[in-house]
Amino acid sequence: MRRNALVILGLVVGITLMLWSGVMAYRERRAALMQAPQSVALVPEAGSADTVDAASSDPNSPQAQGLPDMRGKLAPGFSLKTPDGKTVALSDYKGKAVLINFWATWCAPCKLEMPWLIDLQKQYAAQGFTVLGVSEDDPPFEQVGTFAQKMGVNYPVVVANDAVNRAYGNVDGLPTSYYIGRDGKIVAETAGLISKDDIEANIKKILATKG
Amino acid sequence: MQSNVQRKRSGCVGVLFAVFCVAGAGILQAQQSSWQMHDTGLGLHEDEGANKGWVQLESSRQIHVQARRAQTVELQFVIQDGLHINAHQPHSPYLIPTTLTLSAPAGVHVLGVEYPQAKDYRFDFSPKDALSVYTGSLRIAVRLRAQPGAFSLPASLRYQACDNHMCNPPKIFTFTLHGVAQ
Repeated sequence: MRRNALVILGLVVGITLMLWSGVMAYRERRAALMQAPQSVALVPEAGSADTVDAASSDPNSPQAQGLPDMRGKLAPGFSLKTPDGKTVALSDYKGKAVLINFWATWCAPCKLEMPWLIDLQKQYAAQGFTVLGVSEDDPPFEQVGTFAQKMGVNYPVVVANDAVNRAYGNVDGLPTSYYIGRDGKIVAETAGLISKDDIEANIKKILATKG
Repeated sequence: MQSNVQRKRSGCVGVLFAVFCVAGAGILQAQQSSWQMHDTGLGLHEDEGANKGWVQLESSRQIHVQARRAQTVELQFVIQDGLHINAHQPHSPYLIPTTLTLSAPAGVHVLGVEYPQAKDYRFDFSPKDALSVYTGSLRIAVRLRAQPGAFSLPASLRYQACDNHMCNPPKIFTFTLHGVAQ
């Protein structure tokens, strides 16, 4: 009888110790995460296209934002709806240089770069270039169309879905852009607002690629 | 015979111990998985256990108020350094306003929520366009009246944070205030 009582006592102490150590470990992990820096660093606003390209070792690079380095890989294909319900596929632009620009109506830096993208679309469209805006807005999507119209957007705008976000590395911060060469490969990627000059330099690079 | 019974009992205790171990490990694993799911950043919601947010509640979650009288409870939030969130009434209808929502239980009546004065913020790239934002510390005053007794007041703060180059997706920070009205 006494032996059973000792066994039960041992059992209770053992379970208590096990749970206590588990909870302590859980708390430590939470505390460690609390102290970890949040991913808010950005691509430098000044600098050449080479700076953007060499970003992999930069703490402010898209990779530091948690985006995978997709340069040199084929751009994941997608087929998305425009705010008014038409379907646009990336494959529609085969052989063209494409700037995929993830943005949202609530994103002020995205709104800032929009007039630059409009200018660059005008300037380089004849050479086989297009911007493709991918909106990260929530429904209703009519507001995306209204916003784009109000801004004078002259390039196609589609609405993102989970699949395209996953395919492009779980796009989180906006704006995020991928520059795709005529061969369908990603040449450059940027996270955050960069200067118009840097955007243009990346566009020239993708225009120089061969299909 | 007695020895056999004792052996059986010890065996049962051993099996029980193993079951407890497995169950305990399972519970801890489930707790961690749940936390990690919140941390993926895929969802819009975060909570007190998520730690991914850019705004944290700094003031106490414990509140004491005088019963049956209109009281003001100030909630102090901290916005991560270098970030701003939109004012409750931003300049553009497209921007996502910071909004505190409270789900008052029976016996508690939320009379109003007051937001502080926002600051104008201008981008280096476009100095003429001003945004109305909160930065640093954010105090939101909640006016409420409660019947005597303890109560829980679930709350959520919806906000959207940016710095001067990039915007993070909108988030909903949920938390619960634990009150006593005397």
